[in-house]
Amino acid sequence: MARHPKVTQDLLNAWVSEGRGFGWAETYKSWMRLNRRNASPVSTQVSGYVPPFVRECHFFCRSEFLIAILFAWLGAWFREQFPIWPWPHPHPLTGINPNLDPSLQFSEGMQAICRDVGIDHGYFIGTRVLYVWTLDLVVSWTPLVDVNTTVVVSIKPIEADRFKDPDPLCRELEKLEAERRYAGAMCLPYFVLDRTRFPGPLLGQLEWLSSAAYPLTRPYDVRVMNEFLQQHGPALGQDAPANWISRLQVDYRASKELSDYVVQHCLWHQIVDCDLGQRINMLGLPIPGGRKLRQRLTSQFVSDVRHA
Amino acid sequence: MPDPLVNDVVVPTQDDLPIKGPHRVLRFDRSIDSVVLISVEANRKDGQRVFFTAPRHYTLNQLSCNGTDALLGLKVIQFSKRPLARLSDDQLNRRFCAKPGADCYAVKTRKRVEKWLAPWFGPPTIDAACASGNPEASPTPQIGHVASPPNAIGSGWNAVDLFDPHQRAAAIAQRAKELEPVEEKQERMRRRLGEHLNQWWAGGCTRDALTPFTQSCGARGKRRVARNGKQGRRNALTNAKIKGKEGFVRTDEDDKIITYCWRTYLAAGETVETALRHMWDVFYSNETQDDNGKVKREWFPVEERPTQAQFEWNGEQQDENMEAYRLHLSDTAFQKSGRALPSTSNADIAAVGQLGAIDSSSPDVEYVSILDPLRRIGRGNRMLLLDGFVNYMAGSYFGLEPASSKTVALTVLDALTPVAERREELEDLGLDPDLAQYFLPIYFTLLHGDNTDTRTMEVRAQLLDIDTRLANVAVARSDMNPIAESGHHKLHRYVDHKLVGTTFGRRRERGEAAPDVCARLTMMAHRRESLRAQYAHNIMPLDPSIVPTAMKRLKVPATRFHMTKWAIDHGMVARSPSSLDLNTVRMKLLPLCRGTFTEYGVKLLRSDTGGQPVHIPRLRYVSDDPRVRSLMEQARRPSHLQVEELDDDFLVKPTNLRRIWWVDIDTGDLVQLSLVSNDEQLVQEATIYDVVDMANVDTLARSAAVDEANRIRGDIEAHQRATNKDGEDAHRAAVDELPKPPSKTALVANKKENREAEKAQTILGIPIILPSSVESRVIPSTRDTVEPTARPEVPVDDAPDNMQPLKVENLQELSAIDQSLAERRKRYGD
Repeated sequence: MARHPKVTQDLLNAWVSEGRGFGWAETYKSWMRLNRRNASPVSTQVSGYVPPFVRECHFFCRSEFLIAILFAWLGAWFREQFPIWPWPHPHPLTGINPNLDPSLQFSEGMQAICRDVGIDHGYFIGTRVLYVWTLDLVVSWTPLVDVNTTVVVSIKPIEADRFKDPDPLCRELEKLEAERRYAGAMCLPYFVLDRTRFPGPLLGQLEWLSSAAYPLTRPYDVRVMNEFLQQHGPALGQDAPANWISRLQVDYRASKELSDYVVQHCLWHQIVDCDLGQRINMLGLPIPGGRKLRQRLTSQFVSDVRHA
Repeated sequence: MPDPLVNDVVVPTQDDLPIKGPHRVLRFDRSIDSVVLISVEANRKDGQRVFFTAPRHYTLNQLSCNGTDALLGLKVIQFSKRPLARLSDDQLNRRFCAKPGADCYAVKTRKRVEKWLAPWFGPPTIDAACASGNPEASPTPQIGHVASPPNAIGSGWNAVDLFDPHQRAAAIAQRAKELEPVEEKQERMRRRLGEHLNQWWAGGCTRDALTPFTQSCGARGKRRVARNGKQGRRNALTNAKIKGKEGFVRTDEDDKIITYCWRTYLAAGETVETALRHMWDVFYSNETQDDNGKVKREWFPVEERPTQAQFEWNGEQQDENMEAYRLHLSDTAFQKSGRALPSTSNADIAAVGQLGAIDSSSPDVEYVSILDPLRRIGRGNRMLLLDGFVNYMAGSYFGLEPASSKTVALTVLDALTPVAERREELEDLGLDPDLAQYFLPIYFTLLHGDNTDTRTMEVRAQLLDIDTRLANVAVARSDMNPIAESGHHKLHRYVDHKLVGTTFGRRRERGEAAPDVCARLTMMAHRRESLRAQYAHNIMPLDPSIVPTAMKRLKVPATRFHMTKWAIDHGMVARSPSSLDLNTVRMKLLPLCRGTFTEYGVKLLRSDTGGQPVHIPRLRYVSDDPRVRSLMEQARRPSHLQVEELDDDFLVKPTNLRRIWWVDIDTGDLVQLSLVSNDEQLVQEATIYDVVDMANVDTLARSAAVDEANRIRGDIEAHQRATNKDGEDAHRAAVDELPKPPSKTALVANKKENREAEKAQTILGIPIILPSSVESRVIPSTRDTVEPTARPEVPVDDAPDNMQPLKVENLQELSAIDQSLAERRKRYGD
């Protein structure tokens, strides 16, 4: 395995020039990206698309991936591995909403925050180049992206021993505190989450349905779905999802792939109210409660967002 | 405040009352101004024996507030039984691990004391006495489930008031005599009876009150557990009355550590003290970091570490059931093999195709070449792709290539193989093509692999193109990809370790035959068996308990194939967001091979010849597509007249030679070309690598063949030269006989007449050649009586040279025979 290139300021400048840590929505590039050399000794790392984006997202543990999908279901857009520069820098929301920019404060930089907390900021290993901290997820609800609809989320296994019995050599709790202070300085709520906070089949089913979150692109497919929803949409809640598939195939001559996609699309977007916190029974009636669940989860993070 | 009842527990409300602490009321009689109380708190003398003080008499005045009878200075409280007294006989037996059919000490004591006290608290029920309210009228109350004893327990029983100390002593002495005939032992019996009587009263006059005070005792066969205090004798600090330094209280965890360290550190040559210090260093110390960043270890304070006595005593116990080894495991090793498993690897999986576990492994079998069974070619590689829904084996790669991005791509593509192509593949391998229906094409939205073959930029880019995510488990944690690992394990057991030439996945033991010596199978033969095993795995009946109720109701068979198919049919399947078709996936995943359009079709080029284009022989692909035909026509023209570039890249599935694909870059279409070949065995059994290998072998054979061909040509040319020379010599000899050489005109004159004369000596134009085995003999005529003149028999040896039968060995001799034959006819007649 090739060795990691030594981190120098020039390398960091090159990464910044690439656009890492910048952008929004489809154009965002995460600061830290998975490659051959940064495999983890403890976590399963995931890369791939997460709706509503088709860009490649990089997650350094499976929990991050699943929770990102959850936020996508809640209607939010996220930026993963978001950098916190050591030096003074603009607010994370700068550049997204021009009307908002004048009111957003500057950050004094992570180095200053660490100094206040009384901890070491840290350097890239073997160098004197300041390490660039990252936030696991910066989540914003659209279309109004401001400090009231943006949260910072850190995804950590908080039930693990290293968070309960802090080892002076282990900096997990220090990092969380510094991140919390940074978020506080930016007037953004800060959460620490773990997938264990969402028991049951919710995350697994969202992972399955996430592939069908994207809108259909082929005109024929779009027409079939629109006609289907127009004619049967209100009554779908009184029929089993397996019957929706049969109806699409028989009445609308849709292919099996298209039928499956339409059904999963309806479940993801809650076109039919279906509680995804319970195991979906394709042969039984959908259990309502999904919309309420979505609203309730969203309101735990932000209060200004209402789902359609 | 109402008066307390008998058996109530009261506490004083004022400090100046003669009683301290909770007391049970044994008698409360205002009429005789008598209150009998007994303390319910047991005393322990010298830490040994537990006892209750005897009941005492008080007057109402003594127990009143401010000396007035009206206001009693007692308050009734709830007082619960001690824990051991709440247990029934069976529960006590279980608690103390009594032998089956026998009672533990606590139950035996209950029953024994019950018998001792029975004459005083005999068989009649206490309930009747309570109901009548006349304890005088009732006989002695029964020891048993007495809910509310009568006011006067001691009185009314044969006029013995047990509350009176003297009467009580006399009654006890008499009872002791009855129970213990030996006089020396009666003293002890009297004491015991007195104590049990007090215990009975203090416990509420119930049978449970007679339970002995053995709550701190261990059970039979169980080790004594230190609960609140340190076991063993007190240390010096405690003896010196220094609080907080009582010593280390061992827990179960500490016992395991001590046992483990005793077994592991106390090796030969080590002392107990060394092992003890080693244990303190590893398990009872903290890492600290000083200002210079130096890390050092500090032991816990002495009272927070096991002592040497505890180490020696506990270590020697050597309990085999303790699994202390895990304590010394590294974090990673513990995560792998020691931790609890509250969930499973497919707990999140809700649909088919949601997660595909991929991993590669060696099939553990040595192969031989398909060209020569005596040539060993080593081992192959297999990559498996299993669906996480019910561990259905969806795809595989089987070949000589080590695990790489290409093999990952081929494996993913294999999982998408349509049924029609699968039929061909099975047929080529000699399997029943109808089995193809059991190989379901599955598209995966997430691939789960380790960090060896799947963690490359090429794989990530390819998977991104086909809308598949990639998950890589932690380093050196293949146990986090158990679906794929168990798939390998199954195939090893089903097929790999049962074939000739297997290595069994381990080093060869002494005396065992070497796998490469035993190798007999080609890779294709193993692939056949492997596919058969894959089919078997997918249709193997499973434990019916794993089938969900929804499937059970519909009578879905408990096999991976049926459960997967059911899920797909009912929409529980992951789909690609961009509705990819198979051709698009082929374009993204299949490896490219350089080839060229020729007039005969497409021929693939070898990749191992550097810049020089060399065709792979035996493979020729054609198509009816007009674009392909147009390029083939152009290939017939001279190169300076060709318009299009005829070299291009083709998508090749190395394991299936029947077809390749060409991407028309103008339209983006994928055009399929089919193999044209009469060599069916090549098509069925060879991969493209085998064909290239054959070409290498053919090259060697070709050079030998060319040489042999030259030899044969040279041989016949030499004979031709000799023939020419003979003809030339004959001509010269004939010319020499003439007075002068004939002119050219004379030479070629009369050709026609010469030809007619020559033809007269032939049959249908073919000169008569006598074979060497023909003998000359006379055939007698029956019509002529005259003896025909016998042809003079010329002995063979005397015959002129030309008469001797010649063995024709070559053409030159044959032409000489022709000439001599003409002369003979001329000389001797026919």
